[in-house]
Amino acid sequence: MFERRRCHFTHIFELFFRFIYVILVMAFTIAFNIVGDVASKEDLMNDIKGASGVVMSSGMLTFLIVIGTVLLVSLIMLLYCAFKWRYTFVSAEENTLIYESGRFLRKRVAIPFEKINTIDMGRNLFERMVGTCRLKIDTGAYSTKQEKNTAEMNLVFSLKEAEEIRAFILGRAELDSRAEEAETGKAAVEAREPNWVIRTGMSDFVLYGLTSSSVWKLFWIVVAGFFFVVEIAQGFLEEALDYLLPYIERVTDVIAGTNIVLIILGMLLFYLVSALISDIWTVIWAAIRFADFRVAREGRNVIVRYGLITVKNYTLQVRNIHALVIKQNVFQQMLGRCSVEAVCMGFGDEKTETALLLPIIRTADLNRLLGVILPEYVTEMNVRPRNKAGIYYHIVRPVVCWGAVLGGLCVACRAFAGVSPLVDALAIIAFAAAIGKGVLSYRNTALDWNDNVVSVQRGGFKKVAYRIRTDAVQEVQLKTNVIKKCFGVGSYYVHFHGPRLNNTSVSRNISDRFFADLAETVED
Amino acid sequence: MEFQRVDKKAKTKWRFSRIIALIFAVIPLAVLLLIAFSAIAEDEGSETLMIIGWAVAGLLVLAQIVSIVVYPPIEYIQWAYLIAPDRIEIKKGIFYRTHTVIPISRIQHVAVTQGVLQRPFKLSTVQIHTAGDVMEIQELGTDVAEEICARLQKRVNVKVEQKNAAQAQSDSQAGSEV
Repeated sequence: MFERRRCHFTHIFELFFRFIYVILVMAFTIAFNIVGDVASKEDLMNDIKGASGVVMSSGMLTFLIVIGTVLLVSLIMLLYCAFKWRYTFVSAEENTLIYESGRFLRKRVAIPFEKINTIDMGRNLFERMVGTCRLKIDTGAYSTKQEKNTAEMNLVFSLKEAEEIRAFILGRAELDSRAEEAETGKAAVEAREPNWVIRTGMSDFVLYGLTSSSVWKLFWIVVAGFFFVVEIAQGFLEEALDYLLPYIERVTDVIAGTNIVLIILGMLLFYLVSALISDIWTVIWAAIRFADFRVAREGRNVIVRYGLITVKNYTLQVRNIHALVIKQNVFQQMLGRCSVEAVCMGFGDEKTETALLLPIIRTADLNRLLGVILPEYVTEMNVRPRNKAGIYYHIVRPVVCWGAVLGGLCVACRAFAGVSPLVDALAIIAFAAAIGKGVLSYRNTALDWNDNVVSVQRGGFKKVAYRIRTDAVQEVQLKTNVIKKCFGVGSYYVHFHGPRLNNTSVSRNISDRFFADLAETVED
Repeated sequence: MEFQRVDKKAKTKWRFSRIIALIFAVIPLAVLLLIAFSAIAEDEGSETLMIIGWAVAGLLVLAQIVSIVVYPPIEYIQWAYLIAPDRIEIKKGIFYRTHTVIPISRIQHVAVTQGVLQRPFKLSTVQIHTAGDVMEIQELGTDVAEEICARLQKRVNVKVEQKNAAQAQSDSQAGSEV
C-alpha cells in the first residue's frame, strides 16, 4: 500500500507542450488576420495614431498585440495545467491502484492490479534530461480502447518513484495470482536487473533495414513533399512547366525511340536507388528507435526495453499475452530471418506501437529464444499433409485470373495504342509475380496444434504465422463451398481474444479433415 | 449426439414474412419500375424498352415467389446445430458452408431474442456471445430456446469452475516449484 501522491511537477510542462501547437497556430492566425485588417483599414489606424498622439508604427502595434495575446493564452493554459497537476493523485489500496483527477469534475478510477496488462515506462529526451519517466498503465478495457485509444493512466513521475510503483504493482499482482504469503511478494518487490535474453546489435538493424524495405513509404513521402512544394510555388511551377515542356516532349521522344531493355534497366536502376535510400533511412530509423533492444523473462512478466532518444520500458504479464505473430516478408524468407510480435490486450496507446518481442532473429533460433522468454509458445511447426486440391486454389486459379486480366490489358493496348513492348514487359513481370505469390502462398499455408498452442500460417510474399494460446481461442470455423467440399478443402478461421476484441487468423484451402481434431483441442 | 434442426414452424414463418415483403415492398417496387419504364418508353417511342420493363418487374416478383415457395425447405435443411457437453456446433449455408465450433467455457453470455414476426409462431433466436463474436441459432421454438439457454448457463458455470480449479492447482504447483 502506498499513500496518495502527486506526480512529478514537470508533468505540468509536458501537459503544456501539448497545447503549444494550438497556441502557435492561434498566434499565426491572429497575426495574419491583423495584418490583413491593417492593410484594409489603413485610415482607421491613422486615426488611432492621431488620437492617442503616440507615434507607433502599425507593424509594431500588431507585433505587440500578437505577443500579448499569445502570452495571455499561454499563461491561462499553464495555470490550467498546474491546476490539473495539483488535483491529480495516485494511490494504492490493498490490491487496487486508484487514480483521481479533477477538482470540479471529479474522476476516480480504481484499477485492480490483477487486471493491469501493460506497464510502460517510456522516457523521451526531455524526460531524460530532468530525470523523470512517463508511466502508462493499461488494462485494455473495451471502453477506453474504443473511444480514445488511450491508456487508463498516463502520468510523469520521477524515475525512482515510477520504479517503486511498478515494482509494487508487479509484486502485488504476483502475490494475488499466486495467493501466497507476503515473503515471496517481498522478494519480487526488490528491484533487480533482469536477465536479458537478447540484445540487438548494429548488424541486426542493418539486416532489419535491408529486409523490411519501405520503398512505398518513401514514395508517398516524396509525393506528399511534391504536393507541398506545388502548393507553395504554384505560379513558379507554371512558369517552370512552360519552360520545361519542350524538354519533357524530347524525353518522351527519346523513350519512344529507345530500346525497351534500356528502359527496363533504367527503371530497375531507379528502383534500386530509391530502395537503397529507403533502406538507409530504415536502418537509421530502426537503429535510433530500437537501439539496445532487450527482452527478458522475469517470473510471470516479460520485460522489453529499447530506444536511444525515447527510451521505452514495457512490462507485459505473460498470462495476458494471447498470441504471437511471426512475420516474414519475402526478403526475410530468403535470408531465413523473422520478427516476432506479441498480441496482448492493452498494449501501448500510440498507433504505431506494436508489441515487438524479437525485432529480427534467425528462424532457426526462434524456438530456442522463445524457450527462454515464452516457453509456453514453443512448438515445432508440423505442417499437416497438404491437400493437392490446394494447388488449384492457391496457384492455378489466381494465375489464370491474372493471366486473363493482364492478357486482356495487352490486347486492349494493342488495339488502341499499337504494339507497345513496355506494356508487354510489365505484364510479363506482373504475371511472374502472380505465379511466385501463388507458389509461396501454397507453401506457406499450414495449420498445426498441440495442447498449448494453435499455429496458423498463411501468406505469400508476406508470411504471417500466428501462435495462439489454446485458452485464447474463442471459436473455430471451417468455411467451404459446394465445389470445395467435393475437393475436400476448406478455410480455417480461428477467432481469438486480442486487442481488437475480434481477432481472426485465417488459413485457406487446407484439407477439411482436421477440423474435428482442432475443435477437440480447443475445447479442453 | 445428433445434429438438430430448427423448429418446423420456421418454414411457415419464413413464408409468412416473405409474403408480407412481397405485398408491401416487392409489388410496389415492381409497379414503380413499370411506371418509370412506360414513361421513358413513351418519350422514346420504343417498344423494346416496355418489354424490358415488364421483364424486370416480372423477374423481381417471380424471384420473391420462388423464395416463398421453393426456398424455405432448402433453408430449413441447411441449418443444423449441436449442443454437446463441452461445445456448440453450428452448421449453415447452402453454397458457402460454414461450420463453427464454440467451446462452452469461452461463452460470455447467452441471449434469447424474439422478433415481432417470430412471436405469433412462438419462435425465438438464441444468441451466443463470445469475447469476439456473436453466433446465432435462428428460429428455435421458444421453449426449446429457453431450455437451451438455461442448460448452457449451467454448463458454462460448471466448466468455468472446473477450469478455475485446474488453474489454481497448476498455479500452486508452479508456486511450490519456485
